[in-house]
Amino acid sequence: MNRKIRRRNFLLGSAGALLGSGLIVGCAAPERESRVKSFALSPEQSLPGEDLWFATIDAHDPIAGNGVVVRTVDGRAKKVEGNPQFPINLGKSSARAQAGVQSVYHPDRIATPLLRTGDPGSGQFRPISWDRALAFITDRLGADVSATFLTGRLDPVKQRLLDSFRLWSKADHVILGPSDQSNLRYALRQVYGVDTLPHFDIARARSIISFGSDFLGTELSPVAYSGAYAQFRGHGNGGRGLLTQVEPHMSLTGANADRWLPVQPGFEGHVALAIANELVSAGLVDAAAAERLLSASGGISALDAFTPDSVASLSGIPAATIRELAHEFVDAQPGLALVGGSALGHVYGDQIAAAVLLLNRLVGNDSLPGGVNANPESSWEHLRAAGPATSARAASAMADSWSAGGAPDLVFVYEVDPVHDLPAAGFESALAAAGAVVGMGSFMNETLALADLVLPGTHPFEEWGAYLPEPLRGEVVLGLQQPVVTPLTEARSFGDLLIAASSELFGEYSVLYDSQQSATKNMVLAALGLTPGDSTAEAGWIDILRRGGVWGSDLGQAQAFGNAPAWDVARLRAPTFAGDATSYGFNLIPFQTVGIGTDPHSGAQPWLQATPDPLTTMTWKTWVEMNPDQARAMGIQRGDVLRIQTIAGSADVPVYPAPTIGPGLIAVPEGQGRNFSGRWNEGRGSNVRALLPDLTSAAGGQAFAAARARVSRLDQTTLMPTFELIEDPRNDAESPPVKIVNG
Amino acid sequence: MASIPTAVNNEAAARAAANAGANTISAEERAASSGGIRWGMVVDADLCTGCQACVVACQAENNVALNEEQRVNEKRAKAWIRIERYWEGEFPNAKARFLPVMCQHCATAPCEPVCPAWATYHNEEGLNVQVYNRCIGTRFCANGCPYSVRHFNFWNPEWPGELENQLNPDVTVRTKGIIEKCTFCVQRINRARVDANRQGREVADGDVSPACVQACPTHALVFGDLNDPFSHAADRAEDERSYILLEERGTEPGVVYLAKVDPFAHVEEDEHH
Repeated sequence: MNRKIRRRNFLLGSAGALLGSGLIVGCAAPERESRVKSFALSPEQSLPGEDLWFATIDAHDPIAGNGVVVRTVDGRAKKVEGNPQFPINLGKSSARAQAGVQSVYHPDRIATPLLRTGDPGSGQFRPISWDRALAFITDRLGADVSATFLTGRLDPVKQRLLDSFRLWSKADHVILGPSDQSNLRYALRQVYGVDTLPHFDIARARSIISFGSDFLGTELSPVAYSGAYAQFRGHGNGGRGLLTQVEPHMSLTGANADRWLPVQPGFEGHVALAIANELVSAGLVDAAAAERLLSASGGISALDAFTPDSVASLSGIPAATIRELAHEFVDAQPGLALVGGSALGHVYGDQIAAAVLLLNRLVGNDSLPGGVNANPESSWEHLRAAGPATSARAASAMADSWSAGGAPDLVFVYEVDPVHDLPAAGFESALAAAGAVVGMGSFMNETLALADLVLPGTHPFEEWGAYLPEPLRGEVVLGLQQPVVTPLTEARSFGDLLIAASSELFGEYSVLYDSQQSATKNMVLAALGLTPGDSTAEAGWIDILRRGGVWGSDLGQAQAFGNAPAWDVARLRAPTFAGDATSYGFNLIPFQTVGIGTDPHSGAQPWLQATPDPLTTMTWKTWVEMNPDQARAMGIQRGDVLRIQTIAGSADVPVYPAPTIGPGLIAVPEGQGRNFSGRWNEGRGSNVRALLPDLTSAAGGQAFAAARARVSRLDQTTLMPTFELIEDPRNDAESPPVKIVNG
Repeated sequence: MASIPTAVNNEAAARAAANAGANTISAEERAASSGGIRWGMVVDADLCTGCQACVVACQAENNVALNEEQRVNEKRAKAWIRIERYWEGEFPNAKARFLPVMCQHCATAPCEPVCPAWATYHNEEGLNVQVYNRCIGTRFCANGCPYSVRHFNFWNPEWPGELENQLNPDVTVRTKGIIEKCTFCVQRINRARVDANRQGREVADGDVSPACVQACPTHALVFGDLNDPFSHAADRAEDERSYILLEERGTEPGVVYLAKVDPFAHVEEDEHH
């Protein structure tokens, strides 16, 4: 039994510190030794039977970064609520946030360091000690060793700790994510000249045209946008805003729209420019201003190629409707145009996004209530959010170069799963070419299953951090993440691991902070001009902990939009698709659900697997939505298993005929098709991303909606786990369950 | 006619009410005889987006058993609140309508008089209460409920591994053989009352938020005392869009709905879809 307290053990053990209470574990308990704790020595903030609430961040949604408060009883997390003070979500939350505690206590969390014993991907590992795991890493890392860290978008604390490590190790860092935002950010640069996501003021808009943006369900910051939507509907608060949704497959936002307009995939930008054409040609906007805004396109004449009549035949939306949209857009000011969802998933998805954003500039809603407002940027040089995820194109190129012999000696994978999320990029073979692969996370996944060593990572409710949510709502927000419970596993935080490795490899002087906790505290206080240890700073720190962060309009520098867009409308082209229309007769549209989304943590949780998709009420499975008339014509019934084939792959998926989609299109939800993520996720459904060819836009965004598919019916049927009552007696009730009134 | 006596005499009151035929007591009579509070909820169908935050919040708060795939297939999944989705029209003019449905806490509840064990009764604050340790599992109440919001436990719930750590200690875990349903988060009502008593005051409007209400990002759900004319819930219930589910059943629900607004709807004379 090794009870010697070494600096490395001490630092790593500090990851278990509870809220700065001084509970420091000097060394890990040996295997089979009971962890008995007397109440006489209980953490100072824990009282038996009394509940305690701690403010922290819903870090499973690191982009939106909602503030939450977590109820704990006797040191166990019980319930998540929105933090009412937090300016992004204002006390509200989502299904995924509500399910947060379930992943803390999930029985299939990675509990100990694991060394692979079988072939890569076999899932065969054996537990080893942290000492051996650290030795494995430090033996393979060093100043002369090539290494790459593959991570999701890290919070500023982890990012700074990794940057510090990289100064000594010369390791690369590549940020991956299921949604890379490359196309949206390209459009923002082209049309507004900014890199940060603006504040789309949904609350105060009076008319919204959304081109595929599922802002109520899965787009960017759905909880904040849902709160704004409630104000937009304006009951008791002025007029009710009018929402029009233009998209090929009905999203949750489309289901809530006043008018849903199914469009041919990839022609969303054409519709936007046809509306622009009508705005200009009907004199609905100032001609001189329009001329200036279209100067990069050669003036307003550039819109001549996008008349409502010419676009109607391409898009499937009647010319009269396009004209009506244009008039409504200026009549019900302020009007707001949004873009997202599958509109961004095309080879010209970057240009589609630019076309939609241009509409906002044409109606002059820049920096106006109900319009598009530039967000401030924090002035903290040492506290910056990690950049957006690497484009799908760059990720694919990197994987290719690794497979061709340029792989690093060590690849460290932290909380990302590129083998599942970007199958066409070829990470499976790329990782096989690496000298060694080390993975870290809460749950096993397709990528970690290939690793030589897998380390148990802390859950977001078990670690420290700081978050800069995006998009903001006009003021800078720094959300503070604090551990609300101690891990029941041997999990350690990524930052503490980096500190331990750096100290071991490069000496103590290589370490800026002695733990992720102290890094968080020092960085946050420094951002506010406070010095740790000072009495004012300590009081301020407690206040920040209680509130869950710090925010204010005086904490950042205002950004300004550029004068005129640099974007040329001629860059928008008709969509191209992978697979010829003759052999592959359907367009495949992947989409996200509000339950499991694309997050492996969410997919592992039975609460979220059982959360009904709002439109189909489907749970637990992958399904394919098909137009009911077309299904009937093809002799296809609900529950029939269809084989979907693209040029990239095939999957067998049961069908749900639904009026959410038109003929010639099929839609399949993402997030399933995992083989290693716990008992409630393994072997469930299909990974729709495996059907997607390696196509990107010029801006590098994945063209995830640009695949054509062939559909054939197999001689199989399956039960569809829905919450629908097909024979609901209430259908015959005298009074209908949902009453409708004209607005 | 039985009256509902004091809060300390709930069980006797329930028996008396059941024996006398509780479904003959009007909501007004109950409120007048009980000191006033009638807990209720207002659901704005125009603000509900169907996001399911309320559904998961309820499961987390109330220790609702895991709905594994087989349970969903068997139509034996439990959801104290569910979002019903109704289709209207066909593609391309299809419209989805969402409606959160939970126990309606009816003043003249069909589930109450049919229980042979007095496991379900109406309390003096308008709650339709389910007493788990009285329930003998006849399922008469579930059969009588026109809203299909009562769920029978065909199995003991399972919380594998460390998962039981997530359970809310304020809420009983229901075992095989009994009925369960939405309680309006009665544990939160009780907690609010204890907190208010400690502070020497009455429970105020806004002190109680059931888990679904607290989570809802669009404020589509509002909870409060429907008998308090100054409560937010009572104010919303007076909206001209208000209606109740299955009004013809005469159940006098404690849940009031506000109609969906559709500027493009072709609404018939009596406003139906």
